[in-house]
Amino acid sequence: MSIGKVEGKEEKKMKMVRIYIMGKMYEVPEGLTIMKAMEYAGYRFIRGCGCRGGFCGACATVYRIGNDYKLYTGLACQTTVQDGMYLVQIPFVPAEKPRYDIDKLRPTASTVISIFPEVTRCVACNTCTKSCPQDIEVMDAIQAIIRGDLIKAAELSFDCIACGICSMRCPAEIVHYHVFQLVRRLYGKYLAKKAKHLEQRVNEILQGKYAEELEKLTKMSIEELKKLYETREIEKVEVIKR
Amino acid sequence: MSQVAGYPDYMKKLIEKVEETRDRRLREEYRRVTPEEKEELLRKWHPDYRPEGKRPLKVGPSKGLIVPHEVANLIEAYPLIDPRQIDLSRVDYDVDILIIGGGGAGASAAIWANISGIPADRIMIATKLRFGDANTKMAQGGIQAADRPEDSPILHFIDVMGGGHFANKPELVRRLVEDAPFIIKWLEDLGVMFDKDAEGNMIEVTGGGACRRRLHACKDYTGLEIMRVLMDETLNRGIQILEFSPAIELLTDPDTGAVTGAVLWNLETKEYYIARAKAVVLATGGYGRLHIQGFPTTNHYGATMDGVVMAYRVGARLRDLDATQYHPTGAAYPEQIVGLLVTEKCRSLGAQLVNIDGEQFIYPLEPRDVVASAIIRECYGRNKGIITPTGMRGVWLDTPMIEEIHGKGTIQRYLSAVHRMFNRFGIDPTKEPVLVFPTLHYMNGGVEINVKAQVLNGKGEPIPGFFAAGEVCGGVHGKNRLMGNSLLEITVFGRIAGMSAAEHVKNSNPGKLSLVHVERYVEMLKEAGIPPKRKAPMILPEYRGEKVLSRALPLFTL
Amino acid sequence: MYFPGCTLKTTALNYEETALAVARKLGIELIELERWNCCGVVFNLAVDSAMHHVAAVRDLIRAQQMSKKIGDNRLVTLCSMCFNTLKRVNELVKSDYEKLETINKFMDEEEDYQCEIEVKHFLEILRDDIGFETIEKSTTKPLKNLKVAPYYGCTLVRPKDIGIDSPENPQVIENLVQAIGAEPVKFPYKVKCCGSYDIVYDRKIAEQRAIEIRKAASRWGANVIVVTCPLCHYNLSLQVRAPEIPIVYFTELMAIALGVDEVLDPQVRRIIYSIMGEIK
Repeated sequence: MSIGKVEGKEEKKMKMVRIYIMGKMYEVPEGLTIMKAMEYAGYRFIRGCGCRGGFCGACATVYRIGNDYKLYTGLACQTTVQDGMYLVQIPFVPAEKPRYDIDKLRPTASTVISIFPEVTRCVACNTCTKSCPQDIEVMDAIQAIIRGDLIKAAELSFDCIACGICSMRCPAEIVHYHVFQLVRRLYGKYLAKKAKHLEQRVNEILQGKYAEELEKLTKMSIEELKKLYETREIEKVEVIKR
Repeated sequence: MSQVAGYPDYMKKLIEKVEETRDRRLREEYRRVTPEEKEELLRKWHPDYRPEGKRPLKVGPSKGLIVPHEVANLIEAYPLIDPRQIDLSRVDYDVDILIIGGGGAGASAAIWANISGIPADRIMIATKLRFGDANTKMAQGGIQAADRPEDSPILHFIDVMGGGHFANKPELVRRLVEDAPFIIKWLEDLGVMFDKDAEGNMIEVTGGGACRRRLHACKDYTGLEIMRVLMDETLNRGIQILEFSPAIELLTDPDTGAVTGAVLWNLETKEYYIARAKAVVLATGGYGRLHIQGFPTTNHYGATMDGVVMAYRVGARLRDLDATQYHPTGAAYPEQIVGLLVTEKCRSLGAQLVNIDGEQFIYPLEPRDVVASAIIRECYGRNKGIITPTGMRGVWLDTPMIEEIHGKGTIQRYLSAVHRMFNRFGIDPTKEPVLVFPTLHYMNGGVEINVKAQVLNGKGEPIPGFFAAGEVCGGVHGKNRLMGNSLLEITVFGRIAGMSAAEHVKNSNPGKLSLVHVERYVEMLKEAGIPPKRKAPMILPEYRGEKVLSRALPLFTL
Repeated sequence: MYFPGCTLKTTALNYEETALAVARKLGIELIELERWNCCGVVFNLAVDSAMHHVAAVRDLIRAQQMSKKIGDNRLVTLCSMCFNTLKRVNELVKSDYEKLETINKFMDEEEDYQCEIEVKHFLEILRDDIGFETIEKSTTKPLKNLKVAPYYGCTLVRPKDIGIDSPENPQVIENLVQAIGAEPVKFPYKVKCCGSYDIVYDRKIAEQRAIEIRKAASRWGANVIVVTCPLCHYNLSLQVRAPEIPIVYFTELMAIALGVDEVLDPQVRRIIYSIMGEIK
């Protein structure tokens, strides 16, 4: 039985399309993602390839189609090639992350703005939102910070994979993903309520509540463990309480 | 921008069957398998249990261990370098702790080594691609910890042992479950945005094989959220990162056998670096890009098991490498995303697995190996799978059920990665079921460690100066990992490795550097009659088109 | 429809809270725009620079979207600087079709702005739509003993074609003050600029203004100064060698007069009540 397919190793008798990788024309099978099309054409990725699944932002790609003036952006691993695609990758965005000690910061907008003063240069042009391959409302997240609403900024920016396309295109030279990372940590650490039950359990363990029984379990025979495993009671699946 | 226009017509017709049975199935709970049924299901249908897929290792401390061919091919392979060409007298990087691998385990080790008193500029993380390019970022569903009053580490322990077929190392499992709540608290304090309810309690769901709800999640981007916070913290502390510089060989002290550093190779400039360290932490992750048995994978680009190969040459003992985890629900349509992860959290939230007739065939939250086997049986044994235009087989994962059970908007809110991944290709998981098939996901086994994260040799003794954490290790999960325990493993044992390495550093001096272990390994290979056909570590998989490769000329290396 | 502006959500929160309470008491519903962004703060005199007007036009489009739902085309602001910026951009694009087209084309992800929104300051609504008589009738606690210096600043009344009253001798705040039972004080610097952003670049200018304005207000007998803009509030409240007169927003006084002062900042309440001779 032939299970599944190994990427790139099977040639298909498919229609071909023309794409232009940094200006050079290549014919590649229709239906491939940009990433696989570039590999088909002979490029071996060192930069510009990470998780291949849309989570890491390594393969940010900018392209146009034919004579259309519009500039499109996408992730190479998640975008299918189109005939007439003119593309280039942006595997790195120049922006060193400022260092800060999260324990010493206060969760306010002025903290964020003092570390990233360029945030106030935002002219609300919305170019960042239009560039985002994750469909995040980037400008609204930056605006939320300007008006002091860190909670909203954290929520809006959550799906950010730090691909950096927004920052490359921003006329105010904001590096959005660094700003959002700080905002989200401030939210998670200071603004979100702490889980009391978690703290309680940590203390219980510190006081050795489970030590004896765990010790016993580590020495138990497989038969005894099997019995415990097969007779354990399983909780019912519950509806999420929001 | 969605380019593929959703499902073709014939598949849309098949979906109607799923919709017909949905109301009834919402009230139906498929019964669980008995231990005997489980045994038979795995034996007949799990890819691991096909003896033709594996062979025993011919050399090394774990000679005789049964492993998949793809793994054996890399282990029984010759080194990339000729030891005589490497100048060890010039040390390029001299640090206290060298961490090989920049994922969740590597970052946790670095942070805790720093917390334990090692100055940041004496810690270095060497990573193959970018810092953070690792399987960690792709973990979606959650991280387990027994922190609810209705739950306890005892139950967590039993779940882990049972899921692992009782082949786990009990003392490692104990560490895993006992440290779990502390790790969650640590992450919460770092600022990780866990899903919480209005009072601040963690929203926890059930993973496959668990008897309690204890999966903490950050929507379905849990791994990404944890990794980026760990990255931020690591960089804030000033810990050095050397990117695009994978290790291609470890270095040992010829007198003591201690691991004393590594040979790193700059992927872009092609130069090698000699890095010397008092302690080396191996955190190189898994082997998805070996495409075991031809399966597609959920793993990142660099998951090529380099660490196992290098550690084995040093004398590390391996275990449980015959246990490959296939995640039951990898995407099976459209072609562009075949193999990518569809998180188990979908099933935790009520989505059922359904065949071509619209009927369930397995309880969705059995342990992963059981579910994977059941899906393979359904598609290839009972022929009740759905066939895509490109010949891929799969079963439905009825995601619209999630909206019915938990309310409209649940998928967009709590499973936004799944929502996004399919919507990009014209499929709306809130209205249509998605097609899934098992995909190569996780390396259950690996390098053996003890409770201090020290790597053990063939006799079970710790190799001095050598630590390991994360997916590269074996023994924690036995023969099958439960959902949510890998994010836990990397943080629990990353922390332990960091602390142990720090302790070791305080009591040791830098050792001598040599490649004698590599020379000895080459001798072993020759004695075993293995021809010098293959070289390892692999570093990166080869995906270039065959047409191009057949005409490629290595004229000069730029 | 209500446009808060950035400061109303951070340092001038009480201005908004009291305004909303007062509006409710008078039967007006101020509905905040669902989505809005910073207006840009200052009307960019380099009118060719379309980019710097985009932010304000985007807010006008947001108002346009909401106006279709609620059937009212008035966008109300509390901050005089936001008022000035939004109204001047509105007038610019209304009168310059090419500019409007450029901006509309640039914002291709939004609907086109049709120039049907009217930008108003809250004081205009109080004067023109509610009327001071109604306000007087709704006053349950006339502010006795309060001698109020009405400070307009500049962005509320200049330039002439967008100001809500005469740029030299406006009366709207005086009339309001009378309606709520206090005594307006005539003083010479009521339309003198507070220094605005010079507080950032050349602090002494703002300090100088603060001294002059407060001294004058005090000399002409005022025991409180009323403002309509958070920046004026900030500048006039600077620590300078001038009489310490309390600076308050007009809505804060209105909140006490109309009996809806539960949301009022306790410190402000204490000060005003003690001037009135009542301890609260």
